[in-house]
Amino acid sequence: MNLQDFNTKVYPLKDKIFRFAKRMLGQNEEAEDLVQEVFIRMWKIREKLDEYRSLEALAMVTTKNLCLDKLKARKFPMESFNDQRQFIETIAEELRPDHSDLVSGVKEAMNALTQQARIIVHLRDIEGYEFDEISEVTGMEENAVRVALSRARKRIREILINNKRYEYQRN
Amino acid sequence: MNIKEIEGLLDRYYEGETSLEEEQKLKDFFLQDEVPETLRQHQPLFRFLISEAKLTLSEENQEASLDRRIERYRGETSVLSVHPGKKRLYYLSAMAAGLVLLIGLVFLIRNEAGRKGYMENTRPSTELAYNQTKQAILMVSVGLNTGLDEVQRLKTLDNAMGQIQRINKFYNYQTQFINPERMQDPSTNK
Repeated sequence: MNLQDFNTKVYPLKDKIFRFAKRMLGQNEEAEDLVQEVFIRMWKIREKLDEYRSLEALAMVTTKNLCLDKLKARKFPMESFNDQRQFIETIAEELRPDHSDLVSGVKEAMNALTQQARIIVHLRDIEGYEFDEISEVTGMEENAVRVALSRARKRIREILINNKRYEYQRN
Repeated sequence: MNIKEIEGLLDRYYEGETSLEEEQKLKDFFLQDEVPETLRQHQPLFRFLISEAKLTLSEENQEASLDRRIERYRGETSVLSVHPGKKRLYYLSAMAAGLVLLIGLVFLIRNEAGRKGYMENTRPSTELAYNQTKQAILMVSVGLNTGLDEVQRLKTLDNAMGQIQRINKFYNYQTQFINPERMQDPSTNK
């Protein structure tokens, strides 16, 4: 695969990679850097890229693995470490007109999920992946993906309902 | 699209049984502004899912990332260049220490060998000194022996003196019996 092929076939995946990385890492900067890293990884094996059935699946698996490495390398669980940054980012997003409090509440609910569940919901409900594609990225059986997806969706609903109840109580 | 259908889709959605097309229907439904009151609680979720899918990596973000990478790379290279320097210094000092040790050892061995050589060289001269000492002692003893000869001669003198004493006794005895006055005052008689 030459540079031109790479630019037309791999580079357009940048947004998907970015969104996936941001979902897993929980912050922008690292996700932006990770996109570059995924491209570097894929460029290094450009001679073999034609052998892969799905470049997107390869890119997403690479993203997932790099993210897991990053998360493992963190000295602190980033959820707490990044509260401040996340808070700032949330404010910026809330200032946009199409983001209500309720929508940011969904984000919190997503963050409360386990990594695996978060990955599955992201791939299905945000990226619109079929179950076999999700299974390819996660390495789980299709049925297991379906069960985990259902459980994660219900968990989000549960968290949202609880949050709402809490808000009512507070008001 | 009627509410019943949406409710049915929602139920299946939470069971993980909806197809991607059906999920798109749900998203489209909740994207509109007039959502029935009973279904409004589901709206934030689907709006969130739609808005998240629109998130893109902007050019400026990519460039910022590139800048960070370059900066980090610089940091790494500076660290790298310092680190091998440190390592090199470490090896250099180890080498220097080894060299000093080697030189010290060489000198020590040489000194030791030199001292041994000196002893070897002095061995004949000790013999010489021994001989010289022996000669000196011999000389003293020879001298002493000659001295003893002199003393021997004194002995003969002593013997002679004894004989003279006997003559003297005889003379005293003779004068007491034959001529007592003479004996008392020999000088006046003469």
